[in-house]
Amino acid sequence: MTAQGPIHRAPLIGGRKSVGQVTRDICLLLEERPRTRWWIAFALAATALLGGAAAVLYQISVGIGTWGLNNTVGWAFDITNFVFWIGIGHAGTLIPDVALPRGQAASVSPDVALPRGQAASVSA
Amino acid sequence: MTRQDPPRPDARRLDRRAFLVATGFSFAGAVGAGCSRAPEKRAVAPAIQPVEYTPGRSYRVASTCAACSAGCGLLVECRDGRPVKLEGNPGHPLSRGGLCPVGQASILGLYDRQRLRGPRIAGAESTWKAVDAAIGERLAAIRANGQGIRLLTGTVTSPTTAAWIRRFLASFADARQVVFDPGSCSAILAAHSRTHGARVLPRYRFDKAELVVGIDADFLGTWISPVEFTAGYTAGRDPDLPGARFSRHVQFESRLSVTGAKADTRVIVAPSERRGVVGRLASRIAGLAGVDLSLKLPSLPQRLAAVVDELATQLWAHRGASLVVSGEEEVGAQALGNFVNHALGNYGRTLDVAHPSRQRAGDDAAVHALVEELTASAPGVGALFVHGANPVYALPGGERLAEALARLPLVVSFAPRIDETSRRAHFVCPEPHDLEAWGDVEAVAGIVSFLQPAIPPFGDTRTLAESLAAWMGEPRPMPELLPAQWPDRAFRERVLHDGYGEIERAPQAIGEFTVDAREADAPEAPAAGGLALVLYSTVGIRDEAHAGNPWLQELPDPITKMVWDNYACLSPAAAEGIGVAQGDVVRVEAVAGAGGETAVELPVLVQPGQHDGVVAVALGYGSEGTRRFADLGPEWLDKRPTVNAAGRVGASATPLLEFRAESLRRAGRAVRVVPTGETRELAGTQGHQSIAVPDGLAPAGAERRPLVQQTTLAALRAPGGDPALAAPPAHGELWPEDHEYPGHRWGMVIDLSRCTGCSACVIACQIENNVPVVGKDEVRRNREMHWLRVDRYYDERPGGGVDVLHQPMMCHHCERAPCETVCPLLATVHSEEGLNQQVYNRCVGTRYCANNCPYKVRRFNWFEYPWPDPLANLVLNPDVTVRSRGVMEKCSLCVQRIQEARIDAQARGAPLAEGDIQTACQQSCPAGAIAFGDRNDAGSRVSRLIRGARHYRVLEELGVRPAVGYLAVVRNR
Repeated sequence: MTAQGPIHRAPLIGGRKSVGQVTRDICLLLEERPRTRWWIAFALAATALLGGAAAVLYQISVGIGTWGLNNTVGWAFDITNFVFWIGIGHAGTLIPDVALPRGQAASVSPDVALPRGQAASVSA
Repeated sequence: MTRQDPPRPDARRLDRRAFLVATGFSFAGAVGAGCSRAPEKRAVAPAIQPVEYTPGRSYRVASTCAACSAGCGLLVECRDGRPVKLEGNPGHPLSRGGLCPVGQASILGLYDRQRLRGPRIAGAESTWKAVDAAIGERLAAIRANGQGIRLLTGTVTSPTTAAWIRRFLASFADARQVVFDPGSCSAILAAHSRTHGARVLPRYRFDKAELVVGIDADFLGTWISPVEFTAGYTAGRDPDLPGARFSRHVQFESRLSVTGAKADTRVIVAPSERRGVVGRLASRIAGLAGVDLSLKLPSLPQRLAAVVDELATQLWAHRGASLVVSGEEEVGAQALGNFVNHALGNYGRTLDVAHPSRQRAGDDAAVHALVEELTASAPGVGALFVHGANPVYALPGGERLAEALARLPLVVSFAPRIDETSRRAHFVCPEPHDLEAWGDVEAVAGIVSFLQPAIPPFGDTRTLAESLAAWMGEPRPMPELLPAQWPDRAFRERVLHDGYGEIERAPQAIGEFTVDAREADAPEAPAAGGLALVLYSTVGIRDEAHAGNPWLQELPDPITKMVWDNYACLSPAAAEGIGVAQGDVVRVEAVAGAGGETAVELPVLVQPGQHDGVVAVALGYGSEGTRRFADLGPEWLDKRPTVNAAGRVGASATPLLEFRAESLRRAGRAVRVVPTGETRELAGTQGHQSIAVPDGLAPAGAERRPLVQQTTLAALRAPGGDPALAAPPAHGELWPEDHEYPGHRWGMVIDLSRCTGCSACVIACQIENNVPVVGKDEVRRNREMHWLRVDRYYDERPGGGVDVLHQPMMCHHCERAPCETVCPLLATVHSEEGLNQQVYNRCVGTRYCANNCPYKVRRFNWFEYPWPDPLANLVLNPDVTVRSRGVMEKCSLCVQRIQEARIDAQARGAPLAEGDIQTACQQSCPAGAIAFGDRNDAGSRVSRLIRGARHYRVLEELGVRPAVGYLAVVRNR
């Protein structure tokens, strides 16, 4: 896909690769045996996940008091956490929303740029 | 449908065969189920049911509170043969229906696992037979060789026990009873033996006094008989009766007490100035009475002198209807106080010495002599018996005393638990709890009440009288000893039924009034180069005997609002002078004294309203009995223990007590306060549920919300009343009028003018509603569970000083409750009788309601709060669910009591009447400050109070229409 219109930029894929080569390059990452760096990253991510699971288990077995809330501050962690995820969700819809009226939809996400009507319906 | 269904037999028709099959199965099933034994868990119900007892119904047994020697009347509420709550006996002539927090909480001691179940010899469990044989042998030896016997007791108000003590001691050549009270009034007794020729404690009649002057006597909090005094004091201060007298109260004090908080005029004096105040008062009164007292007019600071002089003329104007009480420990000053009361003609009116109080009999001089005798190198004492006292803990130089006990040939303790003293006794002969024993009390001459058991004894214990009778060779149980003292059967039965009885007692013989004013001449030297120490008892713990009670430890102090600790109270200026802030640990070091160098390390608490030259420390903390709280509270990762590094709650300040001139001094010792550089966080509740925006944070021009209102008697009685009490304009209405209240509509009114902040209601609510104890760490984290809290407000007075106002705060049961509209589960709903009801099994713990509550009265179960001890859990109220984790809870206006009264009324076939329902807080209030009733009934007390001029509602402008209202504080200024 090449950009047409007012914005001109360098091609995304250089080196005269065929579509098959591009496919192989991409799939290689998924099909070869994981390398050390992958294992390190995986271990870190798995530790974080297990930590999260342990925390949830601990919280469920001991009580919501483990969050450090109290009688007048009844929602400290829940509401922060809630707002954090809501915030991510809102960011995902807000940024295209801001870009769209400025006619910059393509520059934001070139590979998934949708026809105008569709983008509007997604973000609406 | 095209296909015809096949005809089906009519399921409702039962043919003969089916009937027989069903019958056979039912019968076999019933037999099978009946033969198998239900799994036997822990047996709870008693094997022998009490007479006239209906399972599941509560019944009341009249008894007498034995938590202290004040002798308040009790109604023991029992359920399934076990006591579950203690309430005041409304007919009792002393306590008049109230009961203090300590008395109410004493029920937990009944179900205490650490209470001894039988006698012990040298720490090992034994039998009464062995104990009696061994002690009898040793007593015989003592009788033979003429050694001394000493019996150290607390105040004994039981005539039967006193008679047996006399008989027992009379059988020895050298025997003496020594009475020790941790909060003794020894100086008052000694002063009366000088001025009146009889060692008596007058019965103070606050109800008859129009002008009350207190000098460091915390008579509404801890002094002698606070429930009786609170009832009398508030009876004399009812602003709603038109034209009725409203007593005036002037309090001189060095630390801020609940009594000072109620005073109309509170004068801050240093401990060293108290004698000058009494002396100047005596001198002025002598002048007015035309008596030559030959008393040098003590010099006082100008500020104080003017106050005292004016007070003298006011007292003179209220001759015969005034009362001067003093908590001073110096006999000479007390004698001058007696002179003031005598010259004013108060004896016989507001002070009764003809029928004196027996509530405090402690004799500090005798205690001091005993300690000297025991710690002498060769004591001539053959045996020491200790009853109702813990001298190793409670006396200065307890270590020396402990060593002395080890040298004595025979030490017998009657303590119900192993404490500092009973640990060192050769024999421990435990007394039963007062709810499982017979006994008699004559707290004031002529007013008799009995203790009667509400439950069979848990162990094999004996009262002091029974033990002494056994050692006198006449072993008889208490039910046989009592008739010997009270032979009139009809009288006994009346006392048992009513809970009290009155008998004619010959008036106490009183000598000619004499006073030698010179003995009070020498002014007490002010603490040079340091601060003056004031040791005091707290409203919650009172003394060490109750320090093992978790309810009392978690009861916020009415003034400081701190729990689970004692601390060194310093005024803001004093703290600044030393360079310490709240929570900094300081060493309080005695500068000099008989006890030598002694020091206690305590965290600082900055306390407004205290004298700048005073450091105040609570007694009763740091005892061995508080070691039991090591594991208290919910278990989780970040838990911090309730006890300190020494494994105890607080630190003992008794080393700082000193014997000086006939009395054990609690106030006035010179101390240094040295910062240690450490800090220790205190756990307090004030500010946790703050509903007032602090001035510093309020936006410019913001209103100060009139949460707690105060007026003066003059303004209230002026035509048109006090305009400041008018309700603020309400905000706009949002909701439709959709509550109809066709039947009853419950409401509550709390008279803040009567409320002293004593917190009896908090404990009553906790016991009634099975509110858990959470421990110091959880309170520090603002997770206390009390449904009812008493908020304390300071109001700065022009010219320095603070007014303290107390406000009990619980769920307001709003008609337009903000909590109800936000609950996604309808777990909190409005009843058609105006109650805001919490449905525990609907609640999933979203906490929307608590966030939306303007009064901050909802409590969330952050953890599964432990009820680990099945024995202690017998105290739980079966009518109230024990809430589990993740559930919101709050005041229900004692809905279980409303239901019980309704069922009773239905059974009677009569409608619910005013007074049928009493909430737990209302019942226990010694001041009668809480009214509960039907707002739909225009004649009910609640409705009358709502129509009164002083009635207001907190945050009324929000339009939530609370069902709880308050009456403004009235000060007689």
